[in-house]
Amino acid sequence: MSRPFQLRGSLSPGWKIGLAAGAWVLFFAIWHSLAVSGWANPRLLPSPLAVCRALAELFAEHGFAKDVLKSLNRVLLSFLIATAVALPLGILMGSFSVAENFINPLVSPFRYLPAPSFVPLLLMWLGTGENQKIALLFLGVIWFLITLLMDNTKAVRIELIETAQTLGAKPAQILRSVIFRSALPQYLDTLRQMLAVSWTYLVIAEIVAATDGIGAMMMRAKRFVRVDDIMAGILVIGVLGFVLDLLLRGLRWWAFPYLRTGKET
Amino acid sequence: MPPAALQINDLDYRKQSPEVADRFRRMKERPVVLSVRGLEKTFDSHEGPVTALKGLDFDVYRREFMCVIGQSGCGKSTLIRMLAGLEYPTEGEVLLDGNPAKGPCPDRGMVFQAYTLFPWLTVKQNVMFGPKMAGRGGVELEQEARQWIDMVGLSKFENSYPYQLSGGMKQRVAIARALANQPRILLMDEPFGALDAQTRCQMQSYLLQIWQKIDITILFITHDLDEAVYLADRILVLKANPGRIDEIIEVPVPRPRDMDQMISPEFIATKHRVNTLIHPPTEDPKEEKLSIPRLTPVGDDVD
Ligand SMILES: Nc1ncnc2c1ncn2[C@@H]1O[C@H](COP(=O)(O)OP(=O)(O)OP(=O)(O)O)[C@@H](O)[C@H]1O
Ligand SMILES: [Mg+2]
Repeated sequence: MSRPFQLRGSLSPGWKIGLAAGAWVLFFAIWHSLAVSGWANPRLLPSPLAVCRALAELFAEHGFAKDVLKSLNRVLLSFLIATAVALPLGILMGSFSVAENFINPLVSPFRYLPAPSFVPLLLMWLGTGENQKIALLFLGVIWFLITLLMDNTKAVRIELIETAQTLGAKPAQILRSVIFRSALPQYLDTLRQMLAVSWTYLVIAEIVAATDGIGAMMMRAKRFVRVDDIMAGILVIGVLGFVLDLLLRGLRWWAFPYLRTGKET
Repeated sequence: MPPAALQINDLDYRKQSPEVADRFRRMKERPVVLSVRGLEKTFDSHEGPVTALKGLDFDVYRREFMCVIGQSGCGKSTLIRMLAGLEYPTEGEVLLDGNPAKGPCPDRGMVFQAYTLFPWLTVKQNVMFGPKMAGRGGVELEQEARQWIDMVGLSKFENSYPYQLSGGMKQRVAIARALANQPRILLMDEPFGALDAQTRCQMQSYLLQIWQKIDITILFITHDLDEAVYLADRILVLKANPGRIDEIIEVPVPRPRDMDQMISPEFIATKHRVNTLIHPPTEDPKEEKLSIPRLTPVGDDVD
Protein backbone atom coordinates (compact mmCIF):
# COMPACT_ATOMS: atom_id res chain seq x y z
CA MET A 1 0.00 0.00 0.00
CA SER A 2 1.21 3.47 -0.85
CA ARG A 3 1.68 5.95 1.96
CA PRO A 4 2.99 8.93 0.01
CA PHE A 5 2.70 11.55 2.73
CA GLN A 6 3.83 9.56 5.72
CA LEU A 7 7.29 9.94 7.24
CA ARG A 8 9.46 7.35 5.50
CA GLY A 9 6.32 5.97 3.89
CA SER A 10 6.54 3.50 1.04
CA LEU A 11 5.40 4.07 -2.55
CA SER A 12 3.96 1.75 -5.15
CA PRO A 13 5.77 1.54 -8.52
CA GLY A 14 2.92 3.48 -10.11
CA TRP A 15 3.45 6.39 -7.75
CA LYS A 16 7.21 6.35 -8.35
CA ILE A 17 6.91 6.42 -12.14
CA GLY A 18 4.21 9.04 -11.96
CA LEU A 19 6.30 11.30 -9.74
CA ALA A 20 9.40 10.93 -11.92
CA ALA A 21 7.44 11.68 -15.08
CA GLY A 22 5.74 14.61 -13.37
CA ALA A 23 9.11 16.14 -12.44
CA TRP A 24 10.29 15.97 -16.05
CA VAL A 25 7.04 17.29 -17.47
CA LEU A 26 7.27 20.21 -15.03
CA PHE A 27 10.89 20.84 -16.02
CA PHE A 28 10.13 20.94 -19.74
CA ALA A 29 6.97 22.97 -19.20
CA ILE A 30 8.87 25.68 -17.31
CA TRP A 31 11.67 25.65 -19.88
CA HIS A 32 9.22 25.82 -22.75
CA SER A 33 7.15 28.63 -21.29
CA LEU A 34 10.30 30.63 -20.48
CA ALA A 35 11.53 30.18 -24.05
CA VAL A 36 8.27 31.09 -25.81
CA SER A 37 7.23 33.87 -23.44
CA GLY A 38 9.82 36.17 -24.94
CA TRP A 39 11.22 36.76 -21.46
CA ALA A 40 14.62 35.51 -22.65
CA ASN A 41 16.37 35.98 -25.96
CA PRO A 42 15.34 32.88 -28.00
CA ARG A 43 18.87 32.71 -29.37
CA LEU A 44 20.27 32.25 -25.87
CA LEU A 45 17.38 30.12 -24.60
CA PRO A 46 15.91 27.98 -27.39
CA SER A 47 12.78 25.98 -26.61
CA PRO A 48 12.98 22.22 -25.96
CA LEU A 49 11.56 21.60 -29.40
CA ALA A 50 14.22 23.74 -31.04
CA VAL A 51 16.87 21.74 -29.20
CA CYS A 52 15.37 18.49 -30.46
CA ARG A 53 15.34 19.84 -33.99
CA ALA A 54 18.98 20.88 -33.65
CA LEU A 55 19.83 17.43 -32.36
CA ALA A 56 18.16 15.71 -35.33
CA GLU A 57 20.02 18.02 -37.66
CA LEU A 58 23.33 17.32 -35.95
CA PHE A 59 22.89 13.59 -36.44
CA ALA A 60 21.52 13.86 -39.96
CA GLU A 61 23.81 16.47 -41.48
CA HIS A 62 26.92 16.92 -39.34
CA GLY A 63 27.96 13.34 -38.61
CA PHE A 64 27.33 13.81 -34.88
CA ALA A 65 27.10 10.05 -34.37
CA LYS A 66 30.85 9.83 -34.91
CA ASP A 67 31.44 12.45 -32.22
CA VAL A 68 29.18 10.61 -29.81
CA LEU A 69 30.95 7.29 -30.43
CA LYS A 70 34.30 8.97 -29.98
CA SER A 71 33.29 10.43 -26.64
CA LEU A 72 31.76 7.18 -25.50
CA ASN A 73 34.94 5.39 -26.47
CA ARG A 74 37.07 7.85 -24.49
CA VAL A 75 34.98 7.51 -21.35
CA LEU A 76 34.76 3.72 -21.49
CA LEU A 77 38.40 3.10 -22.42
CA SER A 78 39.79 5.41 -19.75
CA PHE A 79 37.39 3.98 -17.20
CA LEU A 80 38.37 0.44 -18.09
CA ILE A 81 42.04 1.27 -17.55
CA ALA A 82 41.25 3.04 -14.28
CA THR A 83 39.25 0.03 -13.06
CA ALA A 84 42.00 -2.37 -14.06
CA VAL A 85 44.45 -0.37 -11.94
CA ALA A 86 42.18 0.53 -9.03
CA LEU A 87 40.42 -2.78 -8.41
CA PRO A 88 43.51 -4.89 -7.62
CA LEU A 89 44.94 -2.04 -5.55
CA GLY A 90 41.67 -1.53 -3.68
CA ILE A 91 41.35 -5.23 -2.91
CA LEU A 92 44.94 -5.44 -1.75
CA MET A 93 44.70 -2.30 0.38
CA GLY A 94 41.39 -3.37 1.90
CA SER A 95 42.75 -6.81 2.77
CA PHE A 96 46.30 -6.15 3.94
CA SER A 97 47.10 -3.25 6.27
CA VAL A 98 50.66 -3.24 4.92
CA ALA A 99 49.36 -2.40 1.46
CA GLU A 100 46.94 0.18 2.85
CA ASN A 101 49.57 1.94 4.94
CA PHE A 102 52.02 1.98 2.05
CA ILE A 103 49.73 3.11 -0.75
CA ASN A 104 47.12 5.23 0.98
CA PRO A 105 49.50 8.04 2.05
CA LEU A 106 50.13 8.58 -1.67
CA VAL A 107 46.61 8.09 -2.98
CA SER A 108 44.80 10.05 -0.30
CA PRO A 109 46.37 13.49 -0.95
CA PHE A 110 46.14 13.02 -4.70
CA ARG A 111 42.37 13.06 -4.38
CA TYR A 112 42.58 16.74 -3.52
CA LEU A 113 44.45 17.69 -6.68
CA PRO A 114 41.90 18.71 -9.30
CA ALA A 115 42.46 16.64 -12.43
CA PRO A 116 41.97 19.64 -14.80
CA SER A 117 44.99 21.30 -13.21
CA PHE A 118 47.06 18.58 -14.86
CA VAL A 119 45.91 19.61 -18.34
CA PRO A 120 48.92 21.85 -19.10
CA LEU A 121 51.28 19.12 -17.95
CA LEU A 122 49.51 16.45 -19.94
CA LEU A 123 49.56 18.65 -23.04
CA MET A 124 53.32 18.97 -22.76
CA TRP A 125 53.94 15.33 -21.95
CA LEU A 126 51.45 13.65 -24.23
CA GLY A 127 50.65 16.26 -26.89
CA THR A 128 47.15 17.08 -28.02
CA GLY A 129 46.24 13.58 -29.17
CA GLU A 130 44.06 10.85 -27.79
CA ASN A 131 46.47 9.85 -25.01
CA GLN A 132 46.18 13.22 -23.35
CA LYS A 133 42.40 12.92 -23.17
CA ILE A 134 42.44 9.37 -21.89
CA ALA A 135 45.04 10.38 -19.30
CA LEU A 136 42.90 13.26 -18.05
CA LEU A 137 39.82 11.10 -17.74
CA PHE A 138 41.94 8.47 -15.97
CA LEU A 139 43.35 11.02 -13.51
CA GLY A 140 39.87 12.34 -12.85
CA VAL A 141 38.61 9.10 -11.32
CA ILE A 142 41.56 6.94 -10.33
CA TRP A 143 42.24 8.27 -6.83
CA PHE A 144 38.65 8.18 -5.69
CA LEU A 145 38.19 4.83 -7.33
CA ILE A 146 41.10 3.31 -5.39
CA THR A 147 39.87 4.76 -2.09
CA LEU A 148 36.26 3.71 -2.58
CA LEU A 149 37.11 0.20 -3.74
CA MET A 150 39.37 -0.15 -0.71
CA ASP A 151 36.49 0.90 1.54
CA ASN A 152 34.18 -1.60 -0.19
CA THR A 153 36.76 -4.31 0.47
CA LYS A 154 37.11 -3.34 4.10
CA ALA A 155 33.36 -3.40 4.59
CA VAL A 156 33.25 -7.17 4.06
CA ARG A 157 32.08 -8.60 7.38
CA ILE A 158 34.94 -10.05 9.39
CA GLU A 159 32.68 -12.92 10.48
CA LEU A 160 32.45 -14.11 6.89
CA ILE A 161 36.23 -14.13 6.59
CA GLU A 162 36.63 -15.93 9.91
CA THR A 163 33.98 -18.46 8.95
CA ALA A 164 35.86 -19.20 5.75
CA GLN A 165 39.05 -19.64 7.77
CA THR A 166 37.43 -22.14 10.11
CA LEU A 167 36.08 -23.97 7.06
CA GLY A 168 39.66 -24.44 5.88
CA ALA A 169 39.97 -21.74 3.20
CA LYS A 170 43.50 -20.50 2.51
CA PRO A 171 44.20 -16.73 2.25
CA ALA A 172 44.23 -16.75 -1.56
CA GLN A 173 40.92 -18.64 -1.60
CA ILE A 174 39.42 -16.21 0.91
CA LEU A 175 40.53 -13.26 -1.20
CA ARG A 176 38.82 -14.68 -4.26
CA SER A 177 35.86 -16.66 -2.95
CA VAL A 178 34.87 -14.52 0.00
CA ILE A 179 36.27 -10.98 0.00
CA PHE A 180 36.03 -10.29 -3.73
CA ARG A 181 32.78 -12.17 -4.13
CA SER A 182 31.16 -10.58 -1.11
CA ALA A 183 32.09 -7.02 -2.11
CA LEU A 184 31.31 -7.46 -5.80
CA PRO A 185 27.90 -5.70 -5.70
CA GLN A 186 29.45 -2.79 -3.82
CA TYR A 187 32.31 -2.63 -6.32
CA LEU A 188 29.75 -2.38 -9.08
CA ASP A 189 27.95 0.44 -7.25
CA THR A 190 31.21 2.33 -6.84
CA LEU A 191 32.06 1.89 -10.52
CA ARG A 192 28.60 3.09 -11.51
CA GLN A 193 28.94 6.24 -9.43
CA MET A 194 32.46 7.02 -10.58
CA LEU A 195 31.48 6.48 -14.21
CA ALA A 196 29.11 9.41 -13.78
CA VAL A 197 32.05 11.50 -12.54
CA SER A 198 34.05 10.42 -15.57
CA TRP A 199 31.50 12.07 -17.88
CA THR A 200 32.07 15.41 -16.16
CA TYR A 201 35.76 15.25 -17.10
CA LEU A 202 34.92 14.34 -20.68
CA VAL A 203 33.80 17.83 -21.58
CA ILE A 204 36.92 19.32 -20.00
CA ALA A 205 39.08 16.90 -21.97
CA GLU A 206 37.28 17.70 -25.20
CA ILE A 207 37.20 21.46 -24.98
CA VAL A 208 40.99 21.56 -24.90
CA ALA A 209 42.57 21.00 -28.28
CA ALA A 210 40.05 18.46 -29.50
CA THR A 211 38.69 18.14 -33.01
CA ASP A 212 36.11 15.47 -32.38
CA GLY A 213 33.82 14.34 -29.62
CA ILE A 214 30.70 15.85 -28.07
CA GLY A 215 32.70 18.51 -26.21
CA ALA A 216 34.51 19.62 -29.37
CA MET A 217 31.20 19.97 -31.18
CA MET A 218 29.91 22.13 -28.34
CA MET A 219 32.97 24.38 -28.51
CA ARG A 220 32.47 24.80 -32.25
CA ALA A 221 28.81 25.62 -31.67
CA LYS A 222 29.79 28.25 -29.11
CA ARG A 223 31.76 30.14 -31.75
CA PHE A 224 28.57 30.50 -33.80
CA VAL A 225 26.35 31.08 -30.76
CA ARG A 226 24.41 27.93 -31.59
CA VAL A 227 22.92 27.52 -28.13
CA ASP A 228 20.54 24.87 -29.46
CA ASP A 229 23.52 22.72 -30.54
CA ILE A 230 25.22 23.19 -27.18
CA MET A 231 22.07 22.16 -25.38
CA ALA A 232 21.70 19.19 -27.70
CA GLY A 233 25.25 18.15 -26.69
CA ILE A 234 24.41 18.45 -23.01
CA LEU A 235 21.26 16.42 -23.59
CA VAL A 236 23.18 13.64 -25.32
CA ILE A 237 25.75 13.47 -22.51
CA GLY A 238 22.94 13.31 -19.99
CA VAL A 239 21.12 10.57 -21.84
CA LEU A 240 24.29 8.52 -22.38
CA GLY A 241 25.24 8.79 -18.72
CA PHE A 242 21.76 7.83 -17.66
CA VAL A 243 21.60 4.84 -20.00
CA LEU A 244 24.96 3.54 -18.79
CA ASP A 245 23.74 3.96 -15.23
CA LEU A 246 20.61 1.99 -16.03
CA LEU A 247 22.63 -0.74 -17.71
CA LEU A 248 24.86 -1.12 -14.66
CA ARG A 249 21.84 -1.17 -12.37
CA GLY A 250 20.33 -3.86 -14.58
CA LEU A 251 23.55 -5.83 -14.44
CA ARG A 252 23.50 -5.63 -10.64
CA TRP A 253 19.91 -6.82 -10.53
CA TRP A 254 20.61 -9.67 -12.93
CA ALA A 255 23.92 -10.80 -11.47
CA PHE A 256 23.00 -10.70 -7.78
CA PRO A 257 19.59 -12.31 -7.37
CA TYR A 258 20.18 -12.61 -3.64
CA LEU A 259 20.07 -8.82 -3.26
CA ARG A 260 16.72 -8.35 -4.93
CA THR A 261 14.80 -8.35 -1.66
CA GLY A 262 16.03 -4.97 -0.61
CA LYS A 263 17.15 -6.29 2.74
CA GLU A 264 20.72 -7.50 2.91
CA THR A 265 21.84 -10.33 5.12
CA MET B 1 8.79 -19.09 45.15
CA PRO B 2 10.06 -19.75 48.69
CA PRO B 3 9.04 -23.44 48.95
CA ALA B 4 11.09 -24.39 45.87
CA ALA B 5 14.08 -22.48 47.20
CA LEU B 6 13.88 -24.47 50.44
CA GLN B 7 13.87 -27.74 48.56
CA ILE B 8 16.72 -26.74 46.30
CA ASN B 9 19.10 -26.46 49.19
CA ASP B 10 18.33 -30.03 50.11
CA LEU B 11 19.17 -31.28 46.62
CA ASP B 12 22.67 -32.28 45.67
CA TYR B 13 23.71 -31.82 42.06
CA ARG B 14 26.60 -34.19 42.70
CA LYS B 15 24.33 -37.11 43.42
CA GLN B 16 24.24 -39.28 40.28
CA SER B 17 22.05 -42.24 39.55
CA PRO B 18 24.03 -45.47 38.81
CA GLU B 19 23.23 -45.13 35.09
CA VAL B 20 24.45 -41.55 34.96
CA ALA B 21 27.58 -42.37 36.94
CA ASP B 22 28.24 -45.22 34.56
CA ARG B 23 27.80 -42.88 31.61
CA PHE B 24 30.42 -40.50 32.98
CA ARG B 25 32.78 -43.37 33.72
CA ARG B 26 32.49 -44.58 30.12
CA MET B 27 32.88 -41.04 28.78
CA LYS B 28 36.14 -40.59 30.64
CA GLU B 29 37.45 -43.83 29.23
CA ARG B 30 37.11 -42.41 25.77
CA PRO B 31 40.11 -40.62 24.26
CA VAL B 32 40.58 -36.92 24.87
CA VAL B 33 39.83 -34.95 21.72
CA LEU B 34 40.62 -31.47 22.92
CA SER B 35 42.88 -30.50 25.73
CA VAL B 36 43.64 -27.06 26.98
CA ARG B 37 46.88 -26.54 28.87
CA GLY B 38 47.65 -23.39 30.87
CA LEU B 39 45.77 -21.24 28.40
CA GLU B 40 46.08 -17.51 28.95
CA LYS B 41 45.10 -14.47 26.92
CA THR B 42 46.05 -10.86 27.51
CA PHE B 43 44.74 -8.07 25.30
CA ASP B 44 46.46 -4.72 24.90
CA SER B 45 43.77 -2.11 25.39
CA HIS B 46 43.94 1.65 25.77
CA GLU B 47 43.94 1.29 29.56
CA GLY B 48 46.87 -1.10 29.47
CA PRO B 49 46.93 -4.89 29.25
CA VAL B 50 43.70 -6.75 30.09
CA THR B 51 43.93 -10.40 31.09
CA ALA B 52 40.82 -11.98 29.61
CA LEU B 53 41.67 -15.57 30.56
CA LYS B 54 44.20 -17.04 32.94
CA GLY B 55 45.46 -20.53 33.65
CA LEU B 56 42.80 -22.60 31.91
CA ASP B 57 43.22 -26.38 32.03
CA PHE B 58 40.60 -28.87 30.91
CA ASP B 59 39.97 -31.85 28.65
CA VAL B 60 37.05 -32.62 26.38
CA TYR B 61 36.41 -36.30 25.72
CA ARG B 62 35.39 -37.79 22.42
CA ARG B 63 31.65 -37.39 21.78
CA GLU B 64 31.25 -35.28 24.87
CA PHE B 65 28.84 -32.35 24.85
CA MET B 66 30.46 -29.62 26.94
CA CYS B 67 28.85 -26.29 27.69
CA VAL B 68 30.77 -23.24 28.80
CA ILE B 69 28.84 -20.72 30.84
CA GLY B 70 29.75 -17.49 32.57
CA GLN B 71 28.84 -13.86 32.99
CA SER B 72 29.07 -11.49 30.08
CA GLY B 73 32.68 -10.46 29.55
CA CYS B 74 34.24 -13.39 31.41
CA GLY B 75 36.08 -14.51 28.28
CA LYS B 76 33.86 -17.18 26.76
CA SER B 77 34.24 -15.89 23.22
CA THR B 78 37.94 -15.34 23.72
CA LEU B 79 38.27 -18.97 24.80
CA ILE B 80 36.36 -20.44 21.87
CA ARG B 81 38.12 -18.17 19.39
CA MET B 82 41.45 -19.44 20.66
CA LEU B 83 40.20 -23.01 20.33
CA ALA B 84 39.14 -22.26 16.76
CA GLY B 85 42.54 -20.72 16.04
CA LEU B 86 41.10 -17.27 15.32
CA GLU B 87 42.95 -15.77 18.27
CA TYR B 88 46.42 -16.66 19.51
CA PRO B 89 46.99 -17.54 23.18
CA THR B 90 49.43 -15.36 25.09
CA GLU B 91 50.44 -18.42 27.10
CA GLY B 92 49.66 -22.14 27.05
CA GLU B 93 48.42 -24.31 24.25
CA VAL B 94 45.46 -26.12 22.70
CA LEU B 95 45.91 -29.78 21.76
CA LEU B 96 43.66 -31.59 19.32
CA ASP B 97 44.06 -35.37 19.56
CA GLY B 98 47.31 -34.61 21.34
CA ASN B 99 48.76 -32.43 18.60
CA PRO B 100 49.24 -28.68 19.04
CA ALA B 101 46.48 -26.83 17.20
CA LYS B 102 47.63 -23.52 15.81
CA GLY B 103 45.60 -21.31 13.52
CA PRO B 104 42.20 -22.05 11.99
CA CYS B 105 41.76 -25.52 10.53
CA PRO B 106 38.78 -27.47 9.15
CA ASP B 107 39.14 -30.08 11.90
CA ARG B 108 37.74 -27.51 14.34
CA GLY B 109 34.38 -26.33 12.99
CA MET B 110 32.80 -23.16 14.27
CA VAL B 111 29.26 -21.80 14.44
CA PHE B 112 29.01 -18.14 15.36
CA GLN B 113 26.20 -16.25 17.08
CA ALA B 114 25.97 -13.81 14.16
CA TYR B 115 24.56 -15.17 10.92
CA THR B 116 27.52 -16.10 8.79
CA LEU B 117 26.05 -17.86 5.77
CA PHE B 118 27.56 -16.52 2.57
CA PRO B 119 24.63 -14.51 1.16
CA TRP B 120 25.64 -15.06 -2.49
CA LEU B 121 25.58 -18.85 -2.15
CA THR B 122 22.53 -21.08 -1.95
CA VAL B 123 22.04 -23.38 1.02
CA LYS B 124 23.66 -26.27 -0.84
CA GLN B 125 26.58 -24.17 -2.05
CA ASN B 126 27.11 -22.90 1.49
CA VAL B 127 27.26 -26.45 2.80
CA MET B 128 29.72 -27.44 0.06
CA PHE B 129 32.02 -24.47 0.74
CA GLY B 130 34.46 -26.24 3.07
CA PRO B 131 34.99 -29.40 0.99
CA LYS B 132 35.30 -27.23 -2.15
CA MET B 133 38.10 -25.24 -0.55
CA ALA B 134 39.79 -28.58 0.08
CA GLY B 135 39.66 -29.24 -3.65
CA ARG B 136 36.68 -31.58 -3.70
CA GLY B 137 33.74 -31.36 -6.03
CA GLY B 138 31.45 -33.26 -8.35
CA VAL B 139 28.27 -35.21 -7.95
CA GLU B 140 29.55 -37.13 -4.96
CA LEU B 141 30.06 -33.94 -2.98
CA GLU B 142 26.63 -32.68 -3.94
CA GLN B 143 25.05 -35.85 -2.67
CA GLU B 144 26.98 -35.59 0.53
CA ALA B 145 25.88 -31.96 0.94
CA ARG B 146 22.27 -33.07 0.44
CA GLN B 147 22.65 -35.57 3.24
CA TRP B 148 23.83 -32.89 5.64
CA ILE B 149 21.00 -30.58 4.58
CA ASP B 150 18.62 -33.46 5.07
CA MET B 151 19.98 -34.03 8.55
CA VAL B 152 19.10 -30.50 9.61
CA GLY B 153 15.69 -30.91 7.96
CA LEU B 154 16.04 -28.35 5.18
CA SER B 155 15.87 -30.50 2.03
CA LYS B 156 13.18 -28.25 0.59
CA PHE B 157 15.46 -25.26 0.85
CA GLU B 158 18.67 -26.58 -0.69
CA ASN B 159 18.46 -24.08 -3.54
CA SER B 160 17.26 -21.15 -1.45
CA TYR B 161 19.42 -18.17 -0.64
CA PRO B 162 20.11 -17.29 3.01
CA TYR B 163 17.85 -14.22 2.88
CA GLN B 164 14.92 -16.56 2.25
CA LEU B 165 15.50 -18.43 5.52
CA SER B 166 14.42 -17.64 9.07
CA GLY B 167 17.03 -17.15 11.78
CA GLY B 168 16.71 -20.70 13.08
CA MET B 169 17.01 -22.14 9.59
CA LYS B 170 20.14 -20.08 8.94
CA GLN B 171 21.77 -21.48 12.05
CA ARG B 172 20.80 -25.02 11.02
CA VAL B 173 22.52 -24.48 7.68
CA ALA B 174 25.55 -23.08 9.50
CA ILE B 175 25.65 -26.29 11.57
CA ALA B 176 25.33 -28.45 8.45
CA ARG B 177 28.08 -26.43 6.77
CA ALA B 178 30.44 -26.90 9.72
CA LEU B 179 29.63 -30.63 9.89
CA ALA B 180 30.16 -31.15 6.15
CA ASN B 181 33.85 -30.61 6.82
CA GLN B 182 33.75 -33.58 9.20
CA PRO B 183 35.51 -31.74 12.01
CA ARG B 184 36.83 -33.49 15.12
CA ILE B 185 35.11 -30.93 17.30
CA LEU B 186 32.29 -28.48 16.74
CA LEU B 187 32.74 -25.13 18.48
CA MET B 188 29.58 -23.08 18.99
CA ASP B 189 29.56 -19.54 20.38
CA GLU B 190 26.02 -18.76 21.57
CA PRO B 191 24.64 -20.04 18.27
CA PHE B 192 21.03 -19.63 19.37
CA GLY B 193 21.54 -16.34 21.17
CA ALA B 194 19.71 -14.30 18.54
CA LEU B 195 16.69 -16.60 18.31
CA ASP B 196 13.34 -16.28 20.04
CA ALA B 197 12.59 -18.61 22.95
CA GLN B 198 10.45 -21.08 21.01
CA THR B 199 12.84 -21.44 18.06
CA ARG B 200 15.63 -21.77 20.55
CA CYS B 201 14.02 -24.79 22.25
CA GLN B 202 13.48 -26.38 18.85
CA MET B 203 17.09 -25.80 17.88
CA GLN B 204 18.32 -27.33 21.13
CA SER B 205 16.43 -30.53 20.47
CA TYR B 206 17.61 -30.58 16.83
CA LEU B 207 21.19 -30.21 18.01
CA LEU B 208 20.88 -33.05 20.51
CA GLN B 209 19.41 -35.28 17.80
CA ILE B 210 22.25 -34.50 15.42
CA TRP B 211 24.84 -35.02 18.13
CA GLN B 212 23.36 -38.45 18.89
CA LYS B 213 23.45 -39.49 15.25
CA ILE B 214 27.02 -38.63 14.31
CA ASP B 215 30.47 -38.96 15.82
CA ILE B 216 31.02 -35.40 16.92
CA THR B 217 32.31 -33.65 20.02
CA ILE B 218 30.68 -30.34 20.86
CA LEU B 219 31.87 -27.37 22.88
CA PHE B 220 28.96 -25.01 23.27
CA ILE B 221 28.98 -21.53 24.76
CA THR B 222 25.87 -20.08 26.30
CA HIS B 223 24.80 -17.72 29.02
CA ASP B 224 21.45 -19.43 29.42
CA LEU B 225 21.22 -21.74 32.45
CA ASP B 226 18.44 -23.96 31.08
CA GLU B 227 20.24 -24.35 27.78
CA ALA B 228 23.47 -25.38 29.47
CA VAL B 229 21.88 -27.95 31.77
CA TYR B 230 19.60 -29.31 29.06
CA LEU B 231 22.39 -29.85 26.52
CA ALA B 232 25.54 -30.63 28.42
CA ASP B 233 27.31 -33.68 29.73
CA ARG B 234 29.53 -31.34 31.67
CA ILE B 235 29.28 -27.61 32.27
CA LEU B 236 32.43 -25.55 32.54
CA VAL B 237 31.63 -22.51 34.65
CA LEU B 238 33.89 -19.51 34.12
CA LYS B 239 34.60 -16.77 36.65
CA ALA B 240 35.41 -13.25 35.50
CA ASN B 241 38.35 -10.88 35.96
CA PRO B 242 40.46 -12.61 34.93
CA GLY B 243 38.47 -15.40 33.30
CA ARG B 244 39.27 -18.74 34.92
CA ILE B 245 37.56 -22.02 35.67
CA ASP B 246 35.23 -21.90 38.63
CA GLU B 247 33.96 -25.46 38.50
CA ILE B 248 33.36 -28.23 36.00
CA ILE B 249 29.93 -29.65 36.76
CA GLU B 250 28.83 -33.13 35.73
CA VAL B 251 25.15 -32.83 34.83
CA PRO B 252 23.27 -35.64 36.60
CA VAL B 253 20.24 -35.46 34.28
CA PRO B 254 19.91 -38.79 32.41
CA ARG B 255 19.91 -39.05 28.62
CA PRO B 256 18.12 -39.04 26.23
CA ARG B 257 16.93 -35.63 27.33
CA ASP B 258 13.61 -33.97 26.79
CA MET B 259 12.05 -30.72 27.90
CA ASP B 260 9.97 -32.41 30.62
CA GLN B 261 13.15 -33.10 32.57
CA MET B 262 13.48 -29.38 33.17
CA ILE B 263 11.37 -29.77 36.30
CA SER B 264 13.17 -32.89 37.54
CA PRO B 265 15.07 -32.55 40.86
CA GLU B 266 18.48 -33.20 39.20
CA PHE B 267 17.84 -30.50 36.64
CA ILE B 268 16.78 -27.94 39.22
CA ALA B 269 19.65 -28.79 41.52
CA THR B 270 22.21 -28.39 38.75
CA LYS B 271 20.65 -25.18 37.56
CA HIS B 272 20.65 -23.84 41.08
CA ARG B 273 24.30 -24.69 41.50
CA VAL B 274 25.31 -22.98 38.25
CA ASN B 275 23.20 -19.99 39.22
CA THR B 276 24.91 -19.56 42.58
CA LEU B 277 28.29 -19.80 40.85
CA ILE B 278 27.44 -17.20 38.23
CA HIS B 279 25.45 -14.90 40.47
CA PRO B 280 27.03 -15.29 43.89
CA PRO B 281 24.76 -13.94 46.65
CA THR B 282 25.83 -10.33 47.19
CA GLU B 283 27.01 -9.32 50.67
CA ASP B 284 25.22 -5.99 50.51
CA PRO B 285 21.61 -6.50 49.43
CA LYS B 286 21.18 -2.73 48.92
CA GLU B 287 23.56 -2.93 45.97
CA GLU B 288 20.95 -4.48 43.73
CA LYS B 289 18.12 -2.08 44.65
CA LEU B 290 17.81 0.85 42.30
CA SER B 291 17.06 4.18 43.93
CA ILE B 292 14.20 5.39 41.79
CA PRO B 293 11.97 8.11 43.24
CA ARG B 294 8.26 7.44 43.19
CA LEU B 295 6.75 9.10 40.11
CA THR B 296 3.19 7.83 40.31
CA PRO B 297 0.31 9.04 42.45
CA VAL B 298 -0.43 7.19 45.64
CA GLY B 299 -3.27 4.71 45.42
CA ASP B 300 -2.49 2.77 42.24
CA ASP B 301 -0.07 0.31 43.83
CA VAL B 302 0.96 -2.61 41.71
CA ASP B 303 2.73 -4.71 44.33
N1 LIG C 1 40.12 -7.66 20.88
C1 LIG C 1 40.05 -7.31 22.17
N2 LIG C 1 40.79 -6.30 22.65
C2 LIG C 1 40.72 -5.94 23.95
N3 LIG C 1 39.96 -6.56 24.85
C3 LIG C 1 39.19 -7.57 24.45
C4 LIG C 1 39.19 -8.00 23.09
N4 LIG C 1 38.32 -9.03 22.96
C5 LIG C 1 37.81 -9.22 24.19
N5 LIG C 1 38.33 -8.37 25.08
C6 LIG C 1 38.03 -8.31 26.53
O1 LIG C 1 38.14 -9.60 27.04
C7 LIG C 1 37.10 -9.87 27.95
C8 LIG C 1 36.36 -11.11 27.54
O2 LIG C 1 35.62 -10.87 26.36
P1 LIG C 1 34.74 -11.97 25.66
O3 LIG C 1 34.16 -11.39 24.43
O4 LIG C 1 35.56 -13.19 25.50
O5 LIG C 1 33.60 -12.20 26.73
P2 LIG C 1 32.31 -13.14 26.66
O6 LIG C 1 32.34 -14.00 27.85
O7 LIG C 1 32.24 -13.80 25.35
O8 LIG C 1 31.15 -12.06 26.80
P3 LIG C 1 29.67 -12.12 26.18
O9 LIG C 1 28.85 -13.00 27.06
O10 LIG C 1 29.23 -10.69 26.29
O11 LIG C 1 29.77 -12.60 24.79
C9 LIG C 1 36.23 -8.64 28.00
O12 LIG C 1 36.56 -7.90 29.14
C10 LIG C 1 36.59 -7.89 26.76
O13 LIG C 1 36.50 -6.51 26.99
MG1 LIG D 1 30.81 -13.74 23.63
